Amino acid sequence: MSEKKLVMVVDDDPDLVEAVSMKLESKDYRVAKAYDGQEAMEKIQAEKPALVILDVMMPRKNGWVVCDEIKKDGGLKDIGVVMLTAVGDAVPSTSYTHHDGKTTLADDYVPKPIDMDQLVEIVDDHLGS
Amino acid sequence: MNGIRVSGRLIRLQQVFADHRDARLVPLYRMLAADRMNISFLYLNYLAPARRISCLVEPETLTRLDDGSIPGTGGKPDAAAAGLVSVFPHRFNPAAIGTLFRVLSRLDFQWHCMASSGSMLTIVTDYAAQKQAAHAIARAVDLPESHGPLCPGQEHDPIARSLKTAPETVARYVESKIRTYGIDVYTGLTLCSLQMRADALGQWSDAVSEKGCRFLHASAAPIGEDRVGLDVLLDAGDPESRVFDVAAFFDSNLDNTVTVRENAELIRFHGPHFGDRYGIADKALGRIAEAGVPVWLAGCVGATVSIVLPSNAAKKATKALSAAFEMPD
Repeated sequence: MSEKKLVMVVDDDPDLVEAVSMKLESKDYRVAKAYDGQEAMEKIQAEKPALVILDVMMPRKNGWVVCDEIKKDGGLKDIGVVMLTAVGDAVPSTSYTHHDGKTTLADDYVPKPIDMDQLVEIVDDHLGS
Repeated sequence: MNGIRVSGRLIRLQQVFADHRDARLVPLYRMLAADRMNISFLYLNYLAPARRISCLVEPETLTRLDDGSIPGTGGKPDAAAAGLVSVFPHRFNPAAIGTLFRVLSRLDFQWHCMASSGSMLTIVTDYAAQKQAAHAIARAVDLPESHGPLCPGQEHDPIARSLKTAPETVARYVESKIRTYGIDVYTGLTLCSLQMRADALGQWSDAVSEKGCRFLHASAAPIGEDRVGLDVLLDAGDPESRVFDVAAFFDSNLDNTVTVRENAELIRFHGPHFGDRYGIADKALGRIAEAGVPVWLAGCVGATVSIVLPSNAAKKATKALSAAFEMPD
């Protein structure tokens, strides 16, 4: 039996972390949780998840910085990063996402508000599930 | 526990009434929605003899209210500057409630009510006591060194904070139905309504935790003379264990009052920016009321709405909610 893959969910909205975690656990993933960028980096280094779902705007360290630190660290760079970008459906401009988000070398981007099914599909794609 | 959040200054509005079925009574959440006032926190208790709705709103929104325009609020609303202190994650462990009540029982500050969400326990304090409460709780829950209480203005780093105010990051919602991240329905639960001293509630919560019970919703308010009314919805697991038999647990203390309601049900949902949008509570509770479904308790904390219902009510309530909210599979 294959071991369940570990996904880390990082967002400063604790209820969103819980909701995403429950969804992923129902799809047979193990989930680790962090509520700000600093805590995320500490846990990523300790637990080496297979994938990180990462909010952008967070206390103490934002998601872009966390993503850059992951991708520039030889021991962590293979960890997949899916950025959650706070751009609503009705917002006409996504300039910050295109300009700043793309420079962070994240592996994928999911717009907020999150479509949970889309998020699970992306996680499945990245982890080959 | 590994985080504490502290809100900015808010205004507490409270509505207390004898009979919520009085057709002349407009619930506070409906009045606020009609004035496009966002509710940052809601506590609703229709089980207590004096039914009560408490809402916290941003101070700026008060300019839209005339003093005395809310029946039952008991005085000028601007007299009640309040703040929120949220601790997370509770992991549905009753011991988290126990920890919180032990702190509340030791400290000499005024708190007004508490409600849970999917991960947080949030208390309402006088604004003047908010930071004292936050630091007392932080000491009690032994937060990691880097995780002291997070106050307004510290929520985001400077880059993220500037983005939050940039026009392209402000989402505007035009939805025929309000989007959610899914609606969870729980049935066959046990609702324990306890009235006792806060420190005794702490002991009881610990005992329930040790028995392996988890809680799915909790709300509380002081009821005078150092006593607290706690309503806690337990997923008791093995009913034979009767771990929620609080009467037996505290049978030596006649001051304790305990009511156990079996087969309670819970609807909990969470949606994008629910904490920052007006009308969410009104849409949810209003639809359920229109469908004739009785509500026992409700709480809006952060972006989560929790509604506690009697037996066999959740199905009808969910159908009523589906008229206003998107219901993902």
